[in-house]
Amino acid sequence: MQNSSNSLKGQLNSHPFNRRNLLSGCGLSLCALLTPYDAVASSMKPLSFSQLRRQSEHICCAKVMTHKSMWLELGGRKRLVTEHSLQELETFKGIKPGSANLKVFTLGGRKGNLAQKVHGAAQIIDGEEGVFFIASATAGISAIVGMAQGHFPLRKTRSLEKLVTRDHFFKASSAPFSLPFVGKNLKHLRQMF
Amino acid sequence: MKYLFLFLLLTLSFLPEQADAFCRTTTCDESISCDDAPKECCRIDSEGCIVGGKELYWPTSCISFSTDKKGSVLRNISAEQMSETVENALSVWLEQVDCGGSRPTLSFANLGLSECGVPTVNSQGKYGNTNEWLFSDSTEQLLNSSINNSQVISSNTLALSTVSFDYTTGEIFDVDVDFNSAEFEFSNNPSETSFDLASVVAHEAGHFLGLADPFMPTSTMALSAAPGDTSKRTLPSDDKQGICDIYAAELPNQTNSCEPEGGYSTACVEKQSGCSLGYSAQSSSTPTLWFLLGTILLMRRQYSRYG
Repeated sequence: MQNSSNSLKGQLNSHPFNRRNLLSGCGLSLCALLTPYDAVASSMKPLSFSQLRRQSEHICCAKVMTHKSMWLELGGRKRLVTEHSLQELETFKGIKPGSANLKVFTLGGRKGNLAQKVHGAAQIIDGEEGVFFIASATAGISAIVGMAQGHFPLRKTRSLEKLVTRDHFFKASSAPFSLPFVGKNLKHLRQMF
Repeated sequence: MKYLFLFLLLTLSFLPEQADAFCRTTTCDESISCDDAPKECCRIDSEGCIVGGKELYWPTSCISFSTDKKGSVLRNISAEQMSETVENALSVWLEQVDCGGSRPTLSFANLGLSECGVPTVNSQGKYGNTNEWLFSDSTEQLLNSSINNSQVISSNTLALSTVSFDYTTGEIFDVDVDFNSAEFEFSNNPSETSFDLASVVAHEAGHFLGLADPFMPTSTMALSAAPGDTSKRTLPSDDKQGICDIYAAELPNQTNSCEPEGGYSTACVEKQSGCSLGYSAQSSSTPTLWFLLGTILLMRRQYSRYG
């Protein structure tokens, strides 16, 4: 009897759907399914933290005060752009431009009933605080590095801690870009500079 | 056996839902807070789509496109090749999708090659427009965009679709698509280092028609693309559902004309006051949007002029 029981256990253990294999399979499958999607590259070339930092002349935490859309001629073409006025709260790189607000431009905007959207542009919302990787701030007018890639809104937790998040554009899309400070607080980001 | 059943059940319960795995572009205003204007602001819905305002659509039963006659000299892609690639992509989206027994209500017309090489929109109905597909492969301008002799700063984007629309209705009236050939290599026979032109065109064609980037990584509309990958040439069911969601039935104010807003124009128009097209037909440099920073000097000039 004992022999036949051992033999049955042996058969069960060698079966591809035995308990241990199935539980391991379930565990691995769950891990795979719960892991965020990743990709080799993107239709937006992913920028690493060091690339973002290198390409930025100015990096700061700022509060978005107002915005204004306007027509501009860029590279020989007429475009709607939006100028966002930022009140700088903390400087990580570069020099704070005095008491004046920073001006950051994004592609797209609205003038009357006519609006333009550029997929991939940073979504900068009035009243929000965020970390901005800015290409140039020398004359108070600048652009964000890598469009939405250089903008990180801050999200307040229940304990009022401010966490760095990805631009809203990435929240709505697959995000194959991992950065070490996303999901962490400003203190963590400060240590990286 | 019961473990196998449990395993399958668990696996299925964690698979993403297929039902609404597409996102539509909306009129929502990215820069306004939802506290200030809840109907107009942008929100993220449970499917991961940016929603708010009205969904965009072409208010015609026929849309047209043109291709910049220069093609990409840098990447050795002719305008005719590009034109054919765009035509094929639009055909996949509009002629090979079955919306429950019928085709999408939108057709397209290839209006050939355009002279201007500057994608723009003339909203006054006075000058004519083109829905233009073009390459920006001016390395000269890229190099000139460096500031203080530092490295070039670019958008790091393969292609940019600029969608112009009526904010109050969501009606699209112009879309221009720029390919960043200055920084990226495109080919219809992609290698490990080049991107598949047909796949990128298929993705941008989705934006052209009113779709946005969804979370689903397998979608043609997904943000992810890898060099050599040709998978986006064919549409998965989510994308087909997306196009049927917009164009399965006749839409409000739908007209039959294939002509762009204000009529079709292949050439650059004369300058308008304030917002002129500053393009010269003799200019050898291709316009470049791939690096906002490179245009900051222009911005500054315009900014100081128009305040």
